Order: sequence, then C-alpha cells, then structure tokens
Amino acid sequence: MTIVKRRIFFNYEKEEKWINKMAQEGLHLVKYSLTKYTFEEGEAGAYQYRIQYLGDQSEEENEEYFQILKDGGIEVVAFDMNWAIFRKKSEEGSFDIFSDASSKIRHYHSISKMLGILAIVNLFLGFLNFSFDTTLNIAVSLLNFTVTIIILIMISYYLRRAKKLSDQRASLD
Amino acid sequence: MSNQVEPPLTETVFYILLAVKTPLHGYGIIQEVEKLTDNRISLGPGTLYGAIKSLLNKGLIELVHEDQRKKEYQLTGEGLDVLKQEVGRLEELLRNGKRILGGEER
Repeated sequence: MTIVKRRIFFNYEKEEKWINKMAQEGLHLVKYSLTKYTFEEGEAGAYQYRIQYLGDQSEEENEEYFQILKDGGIEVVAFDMNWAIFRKKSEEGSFDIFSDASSKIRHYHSISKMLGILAIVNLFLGFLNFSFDTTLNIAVSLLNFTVTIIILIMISYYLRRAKKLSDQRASLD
Repeated sequence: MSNQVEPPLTETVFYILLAVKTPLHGYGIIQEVEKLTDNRISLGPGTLYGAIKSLLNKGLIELVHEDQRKKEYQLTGEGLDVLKQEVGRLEELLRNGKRILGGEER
C-alpha cells in the first residue's frame, strides 16, 4: 500500500529527519520527485535514511560511489538534480554518510557553492526582469528577488553549521 | 620528494593509506579499517570516497585493478613515504607522552 505526501523543505537535514520519522512509524520512502514523497507501509524502524548532495562528482564517479554503497548494503532510493536519498536496513547496523568533521564541512560548503550560483542567477534574472518594465516582468522580478533571499538564508544556515563544526575542531588545537 | 599532505594526517587518511598497502576496493577499505581499529572507526562512504579522490589526486594511492564496477586501490611509493613519516612523528609523540606521563603516575 503506498502513501503519497507532499512537502517542501528548505534544508536537507530537516528533510532527512522527517523521512526517518516516517520510517520509525512504519512508512518507508520508496520514491521521490520534487515535493512528492511516496511511502510504502512496512515494519516500524526497518530502514534508516540519509540524504547527500553529490554535485561535485562526474557520472563515472557517481557510478563508482553507488557501487561502494551497494557493497555496504546501502540502497539508492532516489537520485535527482545531484541530490541522493539513501537507505539501509536498520538491522544491518548504524549508518552515517560522513564519519569525520572535515568531510561534513566539505559537504556543507559544496551545497553552499551550488546555492550561491542559484542565488546569483536569480538575482541577475531579477534585475533583468525588472528592466523590462511591464507589470508581468516586474512581478516576476519580485519573485526572483524573493527566491534570492530565501536561498541566501539557506546558504547562511549551511555555512553556520560548517563553522560550528570547524570551531569544535579548532578548539582541540 | 615533496610532502603533499601536511602533518598531522587525520585518522581517516592515515587508516585509508595503511589499509591499502595491500590492494583493496572501497568497501574493503571500510571493513579493513573497522578491523584495524576494533570497530572504533567506521568510515562513512561519503568520507571514504572524498578521501579516495583526494589521495588519488595527490598521488598517494593509485588505481591498480578494476573488476566489473569495483575499483581497487593501492598505496604508491609516495604514499608509503608519507605513511612512514607519519608513523615516525607519532612515535615521537608516543615516546615523549609515555615518558613524561609515566613519570607523573606516581
């Protein structure tokens, strides 16, 4: 029996928490595509889910990476726009994508870089649309500017998380 | 020979280099490091793969075998040198630590 839920998340960590909360309740994510989450009913807590951004990798590298995951009993539930959702059976042990601070920090930075480019593009489109002076264009330009601001908020969240981790590490020096 | 990795090596890098003294594929490295550290260090696949790419880039490991989709890596000569230097550095730390702390134990 499948259940579909629709959600929008502004940060992947909240998304991951929610997907795992569903899994704890016996709903396991089996398909994902832009705001649409498809779940299958199953044993409560049977799977653990993780999300990773794979933007800096080539297709060949992704293939190799997915093979390493597969060897470790990790399944690729969804892979779209460089974002991947993985899952592993809880009975096979704990499951973290990153085991040290520097790789976690690199992950946050790589996401921030991608978002930074999106923000710049939106800002540029905003100004472009604004310059066209029709009501429609001005309306769209406001949308562009709003999106830019939302993205900047997301970037600041990830950069703060990265800084917190790197400060924790530095405190040991 | 230039030292392309700044000491100290992180535990992740140290153990990956150590593990691939004999050729291993990705998941094999994770298992070997768990064995070597008695399950203290369980490398995350994201961490492992990022490190593999970086070490390949720096010439400390190399691809030695490809079987279907499994790629096997091994330490290069430079990688071995870096490891030996690091073990030497750690020996000095250990020596001094044991000596000085050993004295204070009374």
